[in-house]
Amino acid sequence: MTVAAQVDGRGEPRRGGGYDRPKGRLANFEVFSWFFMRISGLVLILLALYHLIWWNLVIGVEHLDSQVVIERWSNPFWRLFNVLLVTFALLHGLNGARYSIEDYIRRRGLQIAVKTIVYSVVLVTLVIGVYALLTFDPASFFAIR
Amino acid sequence: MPMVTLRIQRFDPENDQRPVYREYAVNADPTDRVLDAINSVKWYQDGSLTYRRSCAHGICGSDAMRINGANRLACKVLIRDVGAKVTIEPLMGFRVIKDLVVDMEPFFAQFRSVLPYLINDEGAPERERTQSVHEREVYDDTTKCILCAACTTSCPSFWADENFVGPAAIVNAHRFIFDSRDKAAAERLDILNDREGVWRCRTVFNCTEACPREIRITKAIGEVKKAILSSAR
Ligand code: FES
Repeated sequence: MTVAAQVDGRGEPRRGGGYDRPKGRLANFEVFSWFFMRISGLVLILLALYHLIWWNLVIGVEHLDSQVVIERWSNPFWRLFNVLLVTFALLHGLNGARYSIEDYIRRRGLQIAVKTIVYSVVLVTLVIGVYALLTFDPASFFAIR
Repeated sequence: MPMVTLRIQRFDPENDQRPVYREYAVNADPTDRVLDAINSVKWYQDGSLTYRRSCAHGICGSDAMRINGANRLACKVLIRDVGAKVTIEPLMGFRVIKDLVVDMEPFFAQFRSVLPYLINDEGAPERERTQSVHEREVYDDTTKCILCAACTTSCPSFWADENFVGPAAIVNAHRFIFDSRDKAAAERLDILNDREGVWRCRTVFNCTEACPREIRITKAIGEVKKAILSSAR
């Protein structure tokens, strides 16, 4: 549905203006997703950089084993850290993918189809990731081994 | 005078199915402008070559075109800066009417849609509406636009989507949004707060690179985005 983004009596309607612009509470969706990209990008630089440096340089991949993971995991702070990392990474990436889809896929039906697939994949990944982080049980992990 | 080869994209709607490239050798000094070389083709070799130009001094904005792949004003680029073989093509993203002349109407429609004029419905004051030096400075950069369309037609978002309002229109909205005498900033921000408004901008910086007036366009667009953000809260 198209809502004319035009003030009565002034100027002329813009071609494509108001293209699918949501009404009501979602009217500012694009503003906030733009803002979210800036904030989450900043947060991710810090989180991901720390993650990378700690695992690869401080610990070193050669010393990386389940014992290290479990030690880390037992501290609630690091669990929170990882929940934030996976959430921001996936949502930031998802919004970027949405931009690209909207830029490149012009056909309405195809756009909806591709978006549905991408959104679902991200949602499932996010749920699995957060679920694993919050419910991981070292005892049963070793029992299986 | 050294010889320069111009490779010009030609399109005659009455005879051509698709554009063709033709080469012309002209005499040109290194300090001549590309426009001089094009003029010499039209005046002495092929009078059917069609292009827009008017002031020849970089102020009317008529002769924006692609010169060696970059959007430039032919009257501002010197031969010595483009080499002995120059490719000249019309702006991208518009319908070509003939040779280097494109249909600019969609561009001007987008421009008009952002209310690019001073709006102040308050009664006329007794004296002029004064402005401090700082108030004037806020939008000084965006007053320089000559509507040549070099920015909009260098923008990948515009190539992909002709409904995108485009950098030039946002620049001209910026010029009034931040003018302390103007009272319609909220209306313009509302018009631009749209997927086809500022949010189609991906901060590619092509516009800033293309602008012959050196307007910091991406910065201006960023300021509009921030203004929308603070009015949305
Ligand atoms: S002819 Fe006027 S800007 Fe080039």
